[in-house]
Order: sequence, then structure tokens, then C-alpha cells
Amino acid sequence: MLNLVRKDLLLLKRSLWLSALYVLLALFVFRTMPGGALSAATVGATYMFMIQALTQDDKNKSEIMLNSLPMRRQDIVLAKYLSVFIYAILVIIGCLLAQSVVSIIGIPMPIDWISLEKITGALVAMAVLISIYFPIYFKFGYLRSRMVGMILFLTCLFFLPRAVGLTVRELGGVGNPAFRTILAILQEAGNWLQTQADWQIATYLLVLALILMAASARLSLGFYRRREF
Amino acid sequence: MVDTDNILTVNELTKHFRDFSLKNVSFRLPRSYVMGFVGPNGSGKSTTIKLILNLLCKDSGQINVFGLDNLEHELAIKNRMAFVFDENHFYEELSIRDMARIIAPFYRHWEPQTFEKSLKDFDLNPKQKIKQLSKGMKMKFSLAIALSHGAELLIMDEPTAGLDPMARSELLDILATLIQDERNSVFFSTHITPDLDKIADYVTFINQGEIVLSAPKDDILEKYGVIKGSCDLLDEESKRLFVGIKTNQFGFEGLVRDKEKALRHFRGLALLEKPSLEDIMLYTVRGEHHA
Repeated sequence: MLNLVRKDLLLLKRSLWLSALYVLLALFVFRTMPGGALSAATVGATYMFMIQALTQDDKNKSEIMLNSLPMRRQDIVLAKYLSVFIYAILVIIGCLLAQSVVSIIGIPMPIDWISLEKITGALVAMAVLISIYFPIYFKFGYLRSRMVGMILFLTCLFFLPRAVGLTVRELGGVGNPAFRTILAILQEAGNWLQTQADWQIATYLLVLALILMAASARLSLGFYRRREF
Repeated sequence: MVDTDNILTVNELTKHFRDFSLKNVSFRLPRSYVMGFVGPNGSGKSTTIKLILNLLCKDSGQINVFGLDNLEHELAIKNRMAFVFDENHFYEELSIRDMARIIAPFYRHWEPQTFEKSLKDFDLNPKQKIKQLSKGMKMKFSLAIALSHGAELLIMDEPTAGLDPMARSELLDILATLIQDERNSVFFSTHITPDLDKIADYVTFINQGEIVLSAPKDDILEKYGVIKGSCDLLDEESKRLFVGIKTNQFGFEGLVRDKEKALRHFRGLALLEKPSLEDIMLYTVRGEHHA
């Protein structure tokens, strides 16, 4: 499985170097924007790498070659999930390095330091995105799933936060007792979370994301085992 | 039961698609021989190969490689076999060296020295990117990989299609060398029948998803014959001797499955010629409509 991750990194060799430039650009663009922007940039860069690796697999129908080698299909599936987190970690390291360079050289630019909260946000968003996208990808292949991937990516990036805000506000005025109960539970959960430390909240979110990903990987495995080339 | 004499056994293999079906395909490839899997485009050659490699799921039937079920022992089997596809499935942006670095760890018995030697023998530059290689060079790269993990069975899907005569001849020479090791066998599909004349020991002919014949090449060439004569020799009974026949104002020409029987029937009035594998394929596919 690790060899497949290495394969994706080899394929992205050139893009990974370009990501250093991307991170510097993101630091400059998002320097005056509110906190979540840098998380969004991390998700954006990670998603970009993921799609590039999938494009390479699709380009010469290389999955035919991979599936003719002595390896299990489950390794191919699990390697894809793992790869995404390797990209995310590389992007985060790139971000920290770029911020350090700006800080050490003394470039006159306000730095929005990437925090544990932002890292967690980016990782959880990425986990949700791939948990939904990968089962579709492994069922239908890259070409038929790429539009779904793009919609999911844009939803994660722009619409989800607004949609949640709008829904909560709208639901606030709804008299339906079921909705009011859900809202009350959410409110209570929110209040309880506020009593927890940041690292605890981050842990809860990461555990939830891992459970979601495990379910997604199981689904992907089922689809990919039956996939024909 | 473990079938040790045959390196590849396909039995009653069936696969249905919306517009095509592979119907009860059966054949056997004995160890240390070359089998040519021949048939026109769309006859089911690639489908059969994909089923052997478990790239497609069979509807029914049995595939044994090295005497082992191809699904139950998939990893063990794939460790001992190699493949060459009709088109490039390697990553174009990678160099030969990087591509081999990715592939090597999957094989239990990868020999780096053999790989380096094969690259030298085949005149391949390890720094060259896959996208810069010609079709013949890509084919040689696939063969270098096959040789480097000691594959005992080489499965090739249309390896000579699109190659120039030089590259084709070179590839066939490499295969001839490969087969000198008695552990090795080759199963290769093609619609270019002259390739089979050079190296195949067995020929399996598939048409419209069904096996037409599967036998040693020499037996086929020994039994089949092309008969030529004037049209007045043809009647309903004699027509039944032919696999396919064509007629014009000068006479008829047709392929018979049993040339001795045909000679007896025509009592020296018709001419017998040795058929090529191409004749056998064309007459069988076209039947009475052979033009």
C-alpha cells in the first residue's frame, strides 16, 4: 500500500514543488482575510493534488496495469485514502515553512499563522469530502465522478458554511416540534463543546471524521472489488 | 485437483455483455509452449485475457493458471506471470527507472541485475520517459519487467499490432529466446496470423465469442487444405466438405477441414494447396460469403 502512495508522490513530483509557490501566494492573498481562509487554501491545495493523481491514473487507463500486478484491490483503495492525508500534511508543512520564511526574512506582510484549530478544520473538511467522493470514484471511475468531486469541493469550500448558517437561522423560526428538538440538542451540544478545551474539540472532530472515513472506505472496497476494466 | 501439465486451462468460460457474449470458451496451454490466440477484432480475445487477469468478472466457468484457480490464488499467480497489453498503461510522465521502481516492490522475486541487463540488451535508456518511447520500446520495457521477476507465463494482448516489421521481428526473436527456458510459456493474442507461423506451437481460434478450434499448429496445417477446381465439381454434397468457399467464373477455391477426405471425394480432379493460418481464419470467419 505504501508503495502506491509513493507512486502518487512520484507522479506529483513537479506539482509538489509548485505547491511551495502556491502556499506563498495563499499567504499573501489571505493575509487580511478571516481565520478560515487558510484552512480553505489547505483544502484547495490538497484537493488539487488528489485530482492530479487521479487524472494520471485515468490518463492511460493505468488502473489496468495496477490491477494486473500482484496486489490486492483493497490496497489500491486504502492507498488513495492515505495519500490524501499525506498531501494535506505536506501542504500544512509547506504552509508553516512559508510562514517561517516570511517571518525570518522579515517580509513586511501580516501573517495569519496556521493553528491547531485551522489544521483540524482542514483535515476534517478533507475527510468529509473524500468520504463522500471516493465511493463514487471507485464505483464509476474518474471521468464519471469528476463533476461530483468538483461540486463537493466547492460545497466544502464556499457553500457549506453559509448553508449551515442560513438553515439554522431559518429553522429557528420554524414551529415544527421535531426541528425544535433537533435545534435544542444542537444548542446543548454547542454549549457543552464550549466547556471543552480546543484540543478536546479537535480530537472529537477527528474521531468523527475517522469513523465517517472508515464507513466510506468499506463502501469503496465493496464497489472496487466488483469493478470491471 | 491440481493440473500441473497445463500452465493455463480455461474451461467453459462465459461472460455476457449487452452486445457481446463469450460463450463456453475452453482451451489448454501445456507448459513450455507458445499459444497464439487468434481471431478478428471484436471476437473476444481481449475479453478472455481480461478474465484471466481478473480485470473482468466471469459469469461462469473455470480458469486455472499453474494449476491454481485464478481468483482464489490471484496474488500467487500474478507473481509468476507477466503481461503485455495492446496499448500503453504505464504512467507516461515517469521515466523507465521510476516506473520500474514502482512495479518492482510488488513482485516477490524481482532481480534488479536482470532488469538492468534487459534494459541494456533491449537498448532502453532508463532515464527516458515512457511518453518518449515508441510502441516497440514500450513493448520491450514490458518484456524487461517480465524477465526481471522470472515470469513463467507471459500473457500478451495484440503485442505486434501497430509495430513496424523490424520491431515485430525483434519482438518475435525475444519471445523465441524467452521460450528457450523450458519453464516459460507464452499466450498471445493477435489478428496478424503470420506472427503465429513463426513462433506458435498451438493455435486457438476464436470467432464471435466462441472457440472455433484449438490444437497444435502443425496438426491444423496438416489436416486443413485449400482445394481449387472448376465449378462443375461442386454439388450439395461436396459443398458440405468446405469450411468456407468462394467461387467466380474461373472456378472455386475453398478451405476443407479434412484434406484427405476432400481429395478422395474429388478423385484427383481438384488441386490441393497448403493453407496458411490466415486462410483458415478468413474462410472460417466469412464462410460461404468469402470474397
